[in-house]
Amino acid sequence: MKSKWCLVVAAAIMVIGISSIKPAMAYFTDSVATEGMIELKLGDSIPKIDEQVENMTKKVTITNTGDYDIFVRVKAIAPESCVITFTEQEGWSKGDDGYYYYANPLAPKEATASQLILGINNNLSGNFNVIIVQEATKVLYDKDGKAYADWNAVVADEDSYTVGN
Amino acid sequence: MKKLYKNPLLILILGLVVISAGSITATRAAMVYQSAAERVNFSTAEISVEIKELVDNGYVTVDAKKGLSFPEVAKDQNFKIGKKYPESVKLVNNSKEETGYSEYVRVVLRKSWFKGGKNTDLDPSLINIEVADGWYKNEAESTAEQSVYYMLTPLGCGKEVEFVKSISVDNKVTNLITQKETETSIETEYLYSGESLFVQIQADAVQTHNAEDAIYAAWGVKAKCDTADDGKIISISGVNTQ
Repeated sequence: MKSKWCLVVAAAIMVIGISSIKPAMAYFTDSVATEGMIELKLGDSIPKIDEQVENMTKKVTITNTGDYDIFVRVKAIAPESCVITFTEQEGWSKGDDGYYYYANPLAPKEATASQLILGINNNLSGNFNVIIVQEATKVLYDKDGKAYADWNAVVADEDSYTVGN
Repeated sequence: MKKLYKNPLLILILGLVVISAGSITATRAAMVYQSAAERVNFSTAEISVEIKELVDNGYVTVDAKKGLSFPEVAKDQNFKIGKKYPESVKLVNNSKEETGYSEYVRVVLRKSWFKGGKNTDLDPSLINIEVADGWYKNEAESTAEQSVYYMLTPLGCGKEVEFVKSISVDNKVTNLITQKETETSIETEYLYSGESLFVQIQADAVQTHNAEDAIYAAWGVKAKCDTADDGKIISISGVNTQ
């Protein structure tokens, strides 16, 4: 029994002895690592509209009230009897889809530098409304850092998205 | 004498005495005086690799303590998703000049999303790291999160090679949302908002002598070289690199 105990002690000493021997490296090697992080900020901004009506003309200014850069566009909804006349202003253009587009992105708290001027001509008498609707989309960038808008972008939730695809 | 063999305790004590005596002798040997004329200095080969990042028109060494700073990204107020930011990272063979050893180098590039911890639910393939020409990507070791690149020719002592050229994030991250529904409303949040892209660059170097065995021993990869020493790597993991 005593000899068994001694064997256990001897085995333990042997294990400790072996583990204390430094591992031998057969080949010369080196390794170095570094890392870094960049934070992404994503969100939507609400555009605020400011309308002035003078002599059957609407003057529209849009302001970015949010925390993220946005592109804005405007649509005028009017009766069929009503003719809307677009007056050329710097930064504004009329699209083929009935929207009026502002060319430059708006930074947070920034307003359109020029007003969108829409003349209203109605052939019929009586009351009518011309409703201005403003829309915004987030600013995207191409590989050269040039800002652009994708008005047809579709969002997807995480359930319809698979990692790696 | 037979009793001595049969008593393991005595054998154990004898062994301990031998070990102790040996260590004492070694200590004494180290204490012995040697004159400068008698001393011979042996210098073994030493290879080393260094990672450098371009910052303000000059390259600075980066490592585990001093990480990547992404200077071009820092110039913008916010990181512009989709924009390709120039980012130059290179590897340098800074081995001892006296020995002048070349080395094989490889880079393990890891990328992931991080928000208080590694987020494995998000897609690391949306992080784009443009690697300079001349690097061979071993697909057998690569995943969406990790890519392993090999320089097929030895990097000479004091020489350097560019590895990273640019960094960008796919615009797809702006289209992915998560929805939280309450009784009266549905709130949408961008899936990647507040996430940080995490990049780790690990550079490994190994000697060029006895190349194939050295690469296998150091990196666990079976490579074939066109010569035994300082050769060009012609296949990795059984795949032709040419």
